[in-house]
Amino acid sequence: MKRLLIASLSLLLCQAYLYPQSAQQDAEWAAELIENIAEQSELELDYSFLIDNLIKLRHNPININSATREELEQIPFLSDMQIEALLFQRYQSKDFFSIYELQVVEGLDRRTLEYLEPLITFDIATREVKRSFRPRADLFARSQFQLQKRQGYEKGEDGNTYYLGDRFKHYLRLEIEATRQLEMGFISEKDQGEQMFSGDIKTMDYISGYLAWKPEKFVKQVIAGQYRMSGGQGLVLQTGMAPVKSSDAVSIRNRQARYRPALSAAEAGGLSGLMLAMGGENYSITPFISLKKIDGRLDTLENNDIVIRSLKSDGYHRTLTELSQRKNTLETIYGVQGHYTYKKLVLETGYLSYHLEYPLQTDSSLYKRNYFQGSSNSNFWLAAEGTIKNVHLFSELAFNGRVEPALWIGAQHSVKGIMDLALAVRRIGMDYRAPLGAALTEAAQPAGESGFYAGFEVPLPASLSLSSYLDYYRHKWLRYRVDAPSDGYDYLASLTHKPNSKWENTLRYRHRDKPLNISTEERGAPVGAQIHNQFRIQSRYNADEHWTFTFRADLQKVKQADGTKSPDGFYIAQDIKYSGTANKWNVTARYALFDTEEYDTRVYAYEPDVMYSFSTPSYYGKGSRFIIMGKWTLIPRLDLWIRYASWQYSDRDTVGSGQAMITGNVSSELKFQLRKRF
Amino acid sequence: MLLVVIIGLLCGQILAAQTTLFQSPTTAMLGTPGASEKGEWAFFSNPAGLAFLREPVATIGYQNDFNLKELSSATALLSYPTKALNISGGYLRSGFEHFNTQQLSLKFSRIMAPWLSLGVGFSHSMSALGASEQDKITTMDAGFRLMPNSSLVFGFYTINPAQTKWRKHEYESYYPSAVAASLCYLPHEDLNIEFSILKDIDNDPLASLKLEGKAANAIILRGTVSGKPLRLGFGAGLHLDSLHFDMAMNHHRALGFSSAFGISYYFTNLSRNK
Repeated sequence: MKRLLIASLSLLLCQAYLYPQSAQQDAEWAAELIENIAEQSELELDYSFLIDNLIKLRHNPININSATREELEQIPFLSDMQIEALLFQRYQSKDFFSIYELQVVEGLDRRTLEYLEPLITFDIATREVKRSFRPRADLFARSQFQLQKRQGYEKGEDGNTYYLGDRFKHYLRLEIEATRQLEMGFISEKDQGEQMFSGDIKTMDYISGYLAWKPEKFVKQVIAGQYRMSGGQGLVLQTGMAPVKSSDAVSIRNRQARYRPALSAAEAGGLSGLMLAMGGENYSITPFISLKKIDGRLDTLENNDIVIRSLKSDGYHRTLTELSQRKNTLETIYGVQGHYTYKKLVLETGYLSYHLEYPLQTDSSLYKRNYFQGSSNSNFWLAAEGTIKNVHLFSELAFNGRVEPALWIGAQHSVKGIMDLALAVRRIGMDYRAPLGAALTEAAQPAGESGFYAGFEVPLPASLSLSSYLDYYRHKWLRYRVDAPSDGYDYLASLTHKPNSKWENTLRYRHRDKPLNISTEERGAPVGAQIHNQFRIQSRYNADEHWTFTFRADLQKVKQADGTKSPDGFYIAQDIKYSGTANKWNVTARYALFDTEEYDTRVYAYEPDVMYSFSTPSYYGKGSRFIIMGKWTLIPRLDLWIRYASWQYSDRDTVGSGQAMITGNVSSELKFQLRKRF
Repeated sequence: MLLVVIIGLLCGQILAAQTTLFQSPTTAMLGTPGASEKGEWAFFSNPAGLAFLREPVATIGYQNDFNLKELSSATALLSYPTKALNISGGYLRSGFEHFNTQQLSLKFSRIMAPWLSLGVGFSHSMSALGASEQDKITTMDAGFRLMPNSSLVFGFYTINPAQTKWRKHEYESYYPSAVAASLCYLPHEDLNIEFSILKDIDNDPLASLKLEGKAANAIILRGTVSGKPLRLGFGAGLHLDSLHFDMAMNHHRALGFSSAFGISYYFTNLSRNK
């Protein structure tokens, strides 16, 4: 092991390995692909592991003639139906010899095949991928800086500033693939306003990493450090990215890998400790343990007992108060996960135990009655998935002590290979608690929720396709700003027009009927429905290898629970990207104008950003947003990104509030990132 | 003066939706932002549309709101194509003796590819209220025009993206900052249908549908419906070889008619196509 470590570090230093040009662009290609996926969502998620997945797949392509369903599921742009059709075609027609033969697979369009081509091989003789291995390392260093000074950096009467650190945010990420079996990663981050190498923070505020060994024998993988796990449909264990409702209406099944090393800068969530995956071709057993110091708002009771009033997940340690809450609680998680595959049936079971050093006692709000409280919790789950004829079924039953369990059942079906359907039902017990659970539900704390989901995707004539879903849900208990049991629904329809591979237009409509108290002032007020109608039009034109134009316009109409209408929210944005010759440099610019007077009519939009940085901010207020970003390959294997982003408001004289307040109506930020490939 | 203030209050929405000081007879006077417009009148909408002028063009225009000379503007433009760029300059005067705005503009545009043109412009405006108050402002606008195929045109432009405002006696006052986009469908070379949206940062969006077709060899007819408030616009053009006449009018049910008229002379003997 020591020799391997030395070997990998030597590689890092000597820079003797030259990648072909195509390999140099791997990460950028992966990032662009993920951006297309991220645009569908309104949630600010960390997609970095998806980029990592794609880069690794490109370096170690899957043999399409022997790939398992689980391996194919790691390709994010392949839908469940496409995977099912591919496996079925392979079963019927035996082996594939070239990418052209994949055109006969139902649902695999030209664009999907273009994306798929670098990730697969057609090695029929050995059924194993025999591709020469090159050790590699990837280093990212990023700094960003707020140009305007926030209130918290101004000196007070005592000569001290409220924020103890400087105005820079720094980020460092290093990933090394030393051998086929050995990988390691290191990540560190310092937020704006945090101290670094001084005061109470002797290094950078956040440091994490992993060492992963993958012998691929009985012991499949060992991970020490940061890792992510996922089980069943996520009712108990989902530390990766949970399935979400989106215009990809039939992709509702949890497709996250059961385990994988992680390198995320998100300070909350995730697991950090030791994980061991072992087993054979058809089964695996994965015990795991995670020990982490996390942030909590602690309180001392009259009897001197310490309790946690809330767990802090923003990762900020800029002030004396925030520093006092830094890593003050030990979180212990352990469990075991096992799976068994028999033909087209996959069975899974697992146990998870969650412990906090101090008991969690939130405030006594009635709606929080079903939230996780106390210092420990145990969950057990059973999951199954399989295909009967042309119907793919997936389910999870999860327990939390003796209370009513949680159930999630879904099905996907392709009607004559033309129309894809997805159906799901869920029923979560009133007292069901799972601190690491994140299934596809309406509420983040889903205790007492039951619901029904139906979605479909269908191609139409004239290069059109339609996808749509309806999700109906009921809550047996009160929720935040909902003082009675309630129900609501969420409907989305997305019409896509794609006349050729260069041009794609989307028209999207979303209707939400959300239960909400009629009055925010009065306690126990009757519950009404807040109605959201959202319209979006988006057009993307990849004119040639240099130019890409993306236009988007949104209209948000909201009728409040008391019947009053909020002023409409508008958002119009134009993105232009120009890539230079040989892809050595590119420039992306966005200008957006927004007018969303009320918070309820705010608009979320995914933004162009440097690699491994993701942002989907809410556009709220009146003003404009300007972003310009350039990427330049300075010398082979060394890339530089520079990004300037600015908010300019027309309806206010200050931006932000409290210590984060900026005097003036402009908030702008400059970001630099260097990437060195070895 | 009082009359102007009253009219301004009455037709607040219309004036608010007006993002240029001169409403051209082929776009703004009809009630459309004209983001896919090409030719000399693109000077007042999307500067990328000026790139298609292949010969020097001299233009004069007059515009009038609700038959009130106090709400009128006059302009003179000159567009000159060079090998690298189309360079256009213009002067306009809006208002009357005691309350007026004068504007000098310079716009640059270029055809980047058969399907793409880009344009950028700078305007310096001077406002005067009586003899005592004067104010100056410099703004920028930029746009592009795309042709994904031979029957579709998409145009986008932004006016004053930096949100520069008038500063009168230390107080900031409104100057339009807006974006506009148009999708134009050409089912036939002599017919086009254009859907547009204009969003000014401080006002409701304005959506419009415009139909333009050649009625005879040199006669062009234009009709537009836009809202809110609902407005109907009608226009016509007489395009002789070197001489183009364009006019437009629209109707507001409370305030009556507004109109614009323009004459352009194409110096065809100096065409870059020759």
